[in-house]
Parts: sequence; C-alpha cells; structure tokens
Amino acid sequence: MAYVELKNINKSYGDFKASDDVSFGIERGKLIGLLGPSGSGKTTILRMIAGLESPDSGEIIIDGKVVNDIPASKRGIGFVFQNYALFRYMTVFDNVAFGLKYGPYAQKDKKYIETRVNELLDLVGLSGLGKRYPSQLSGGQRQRVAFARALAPNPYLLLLDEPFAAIDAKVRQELRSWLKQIIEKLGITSIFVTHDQDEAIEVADEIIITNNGRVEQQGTPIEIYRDPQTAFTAAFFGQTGYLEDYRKFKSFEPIGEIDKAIVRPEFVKLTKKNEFQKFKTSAVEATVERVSFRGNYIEVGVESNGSHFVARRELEQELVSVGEKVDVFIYRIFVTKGDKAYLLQNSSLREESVVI
Amino acid sequence: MKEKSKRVIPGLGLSLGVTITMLSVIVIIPLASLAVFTGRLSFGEFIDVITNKRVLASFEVSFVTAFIASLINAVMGVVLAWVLVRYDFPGRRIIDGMIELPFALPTAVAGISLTALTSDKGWIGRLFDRVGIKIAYTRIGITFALVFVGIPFVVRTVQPVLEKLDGTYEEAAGVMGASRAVIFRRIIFPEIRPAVFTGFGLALGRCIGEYGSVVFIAGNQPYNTEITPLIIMAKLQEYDYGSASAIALIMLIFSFTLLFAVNMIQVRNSKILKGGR
Repeated sequence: MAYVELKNINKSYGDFKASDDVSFGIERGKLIGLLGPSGSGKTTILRMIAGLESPDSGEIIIDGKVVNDIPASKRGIGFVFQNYALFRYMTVFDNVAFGLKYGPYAQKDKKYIETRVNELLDLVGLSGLGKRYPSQLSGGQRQRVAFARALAPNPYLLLLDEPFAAIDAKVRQELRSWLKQIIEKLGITSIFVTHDQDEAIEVADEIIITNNGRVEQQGTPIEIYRDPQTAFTAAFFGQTGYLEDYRKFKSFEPIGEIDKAIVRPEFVKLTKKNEFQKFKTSAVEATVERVSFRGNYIEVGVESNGSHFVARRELEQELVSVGEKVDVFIYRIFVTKGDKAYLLQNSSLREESVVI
Repeated sequence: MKEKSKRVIPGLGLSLGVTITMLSVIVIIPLASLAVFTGRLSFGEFIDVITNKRVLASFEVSFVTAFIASLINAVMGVVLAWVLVRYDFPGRRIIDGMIELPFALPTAVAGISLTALTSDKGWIGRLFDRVGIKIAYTRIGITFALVFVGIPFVVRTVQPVLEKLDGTYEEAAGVMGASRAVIFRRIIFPEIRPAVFTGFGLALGRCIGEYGSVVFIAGNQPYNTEITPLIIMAKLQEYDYGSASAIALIMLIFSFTLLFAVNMIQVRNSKILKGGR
C-alpha cells in the first residue's frame, strides 16, 4: 500500500493551475524524484505534502491518514528548502537543535539534544563546526546543515526542494551520491524536486514526471527512459532530436498520422563510409553539420532528408569532420500522437531476429 | 618607472572634498565651537554649571522621559511596522504615509495641539482627568510628546527589514513544529533586532534634544518638568554662552556615546551575517 498518496489534487493561483488532478502513490522507504520543467507544479506538490500550501480539492494521505487539515507544524515532516533557510542568527548547533527544542517532538532532556545534534553533525560530516554561524560555511556545508536540521526530529518523511540547485557543479556531483547513500542508510521515505533529469536518474529510485500541473508518468528511471507513455515524457527525457518525415528513413512501418517522430542520440548508429555498417541496406546517407567534444564522447550533429538530429561516437573511433557524408542507421524512434507516445522499432531489426 | 596608483572609480578627490567640506561646515565646526565656548569657563566653573541642582534635575527629566518614550516607541514601532508590512487592509497606505507626519509637522504646531488635547479640558486629557491622571504639564505629558516625535524612527528602520525578511525562515521553523510565538521570538525578532536598536537609538537621540513639541506640554516647572534644552535656551537668553555650551557639551557627549553603542551592535551583527571568522 502506498505510504504517501495524493488523490485528485487541484490547486490554482488565480488563473494559473499549479496542480491539475494530481494523483500518485509512493511506497515506504523509497527515494522519489519529482521531475519537470520550471512552472510544472512540482514544488507546489511538495509544499502541499508538507502542509505549507493547502490544495483546493483532493486528498493527501500519509500512512493511511488524511492530513489535509493537519497544519505543517504537526505533520512531522522534514523539509529542506531550496535556499536552505538556515537561521542566520543561530549557530550551526542551534540550527540543528531547533526541531528538538520546539514543536511536537520537543525534547526536555538537554543531554539528549546535545547527543542527537552531535550525532547528526557527525553523520553529515560537519562535526566540530557546531559553533560556526551559517555565513561561515560553504554552500555544500550549508546544504548538509539544512539536511541535518530536517532529520534531527526523526521525521517519517523527508522533502527536499531542488536540493542541489544552489551548489556548484563539482560539489553537486559529490553531494548527490552522498545524499542517496545517507537516505538509503536511514531508510527514510524521501521526495525531492528537481528540473535536472541527470540528477533525477542518478539519485531517485522512482521518478514522477510533471508538466503543466499534471503528472505525466511515474516509474523507475529506466522504465521512463525506455518506455515513455506520453508525448511530453518522450520529448523531455533524454536528449531529443526530431525527424521531419520518418517514412523517408528506411524500414519504419508507416503507422498513419502522427505528430512528431523523436530520435535520441543512442538510437542512432553513425558510420563513416569506409566503416562496417551492419544494416547497410537500411541505413541512409547524412551530412555532418557539427562535431563537438563532450569530455567522454563526441557529439555529432547531422542532417538527413531535411531532418536535424544528434548521434554519438566513441573517442576511440575515427573522427568525422564537418561536411562529411556518413551513413546513419536508426534503431528505433518514438512517435507521438496527441498526448500519447509509441515506440517504433526499425523493421530490419525484426527481420534479423526472424532469420536467427 | 614610477608607479602611479590609479583607482578604478574616478572622482575620489572631488567627491571626498565635497563630503569633508559639508561635514566640516555643517557638523564638525559647530560642534567644535561648542567645545571652544565651553573652554572659556574654568574647569571649576564648568563643574559648577553642570552640577547645579536645577541643571541636574533637568538632565533627569530629559533622560528619563526620553528613555521611556523611546522604549514605548521601540515596542509600538515594531507593532506598527509589523501591521503595515504583514497585513493588507483598506487605508494601509494612508496610515503608512501618516507615520511620517511627526517629521513633516513643525514641532511647535505639534506641541500646541498635543497640549490642547491633553490638558484637563482637552479630548484625551478629560478622559484621563476622570481617573485622576494629569497628562499635560507633567512628565507623562513630556513622554507623550516625545513618543509622537520619535515613532517614525523605529517604524522606518524596522519596516524595510521586515519587508525583506525571507518567508522561508518562518516556514522552515513552522515545519519543524515551532509555534507562532516561538517563531517570532527566535526567528523574526533576531532578524529585526539590529533595526530595533538603531531605531531606538535614533529616537532616543532625537528625544533628548527635542525642544519645540515638549516646551508647551511640559509646563516647565523647575526641578519637575523642566527639560535640558529649555535651560540651555534660558542661559542663551541671559547671554550666558559659557554655561549654555557647557550643558550642551554634556548632551553632545551623551548622544555620541549612544550612537557609538548603536554602531557597535551593528558591527557585531554584520560579523555574524557576513561571516567574519
């Protein structure tokens, strides 16, 4: 049974519909990523679960209880704000101790508070910095303090709003895996909001994709990646290119009227004229428009039959140059019709499997 | 080659010149002349002037009333600023504008109308007279006038700080279970505290030297409701410049100490916020 459940949640700010019939369920102990472009309503969902906003209609259920009328201060939820909201006039120690001193989980025992705060500072790797003020910490350290502060009262649900947005790229990488490890270790059900798909893929057990106030799809990162259900998910997830007319590319069975044909770089096999192309007969000719070095691979922008899309090449492979004629074979595409997305396999792949 | 130090922003010479000239002509020279005038008295005479019983009593009147008035202002100013920032109600802008009236009104006009209001016959004075409290011509009256004069200082220093206060601090504390009272005491108040102190200090400085609005309502009974600025005025009318400036010097020293203390608080705060190690 779902531990956190949203049922038909609606929320509007004036004319703007921030949540449009949102429903989903989350299992206990899972780390969930709410992923969507800015303005898609993901933060609103998080704030409604925390009790910082109340839905216009619908039910929020946590652990079998409808919590709509329970104020934020009594829900027992940990919340990490995007800007951390560390109390500037309190030391790190007092910040972490705040939830233990006040509120429903207030502890009378000073010794316990001290032990618990030091335990958390150890956990987040900041032991010894308790006497500092937030202004004396780096961005990454502040994030850790905010995390420790949210965990201190032992919340049964942890919510994180864009937890890595304000941190520079290098530290962000470290913090991501650190956060995932710690949450797994503690086993606390957590939901974090992000607009960065790499972050969601890397950190989350399960991703919920939001767009225009609606939930588009929920599933593990790999499920969503392989099998996007909606037009939005197919286009948003991964690095997408579009084919003007997929029927001009060989061996896709026409399926009638469609809106768009989406191709991701990893669906494209790009070979130089002198290289071996297994599906030579189904490959089409393309012209290289752009070659960019991306650190651990080379990204090649190509044009073929009036469509522009992207393919990748390994660093070990021979370089291609701009203007060069190459062959491209497309394994599969996503086609969208209205709201829906469908996977279309290259039929030459099927023929091959028949032969075998 | 000789190294020529060039600053990135031009015009330091000119603007610093203007600044120092203004400061000298308007602030430093008049204040220095105060010390010079006082210097005409011998040290013994100086001590005699400022320890004169009537003068000491006036110091007490001025400092005590100004201090109480500023305390009242510190509390009421925070309440007013809070209401103006946190709530939206019809007439908010009008009230917001009225806060500055004490700045704009000639103080004598304020003094006369406050006296009329608070005398036994006045609208407010009549009510208090029934329970035996006299406002006009007592220290209560002086405090009343000083509250009027000082209120904009606290409101106008606290208001912008409250406006800029990030709402997520309160949300963060709320999610952790803190009550509204705890949130105000532990989260909001520390944020506005420096502004409250500054406003309090400014109001106190202004109240101690206030003359126009107080002189009518005070009644000016020696030893009881006679304020220091009035004594200075009286000495001047007697052409006793030495004594007048001696008393003024004491007030100057007090004001200076006060502003210094306020600034020390600010230094400590900015250290916490900007991360001096």
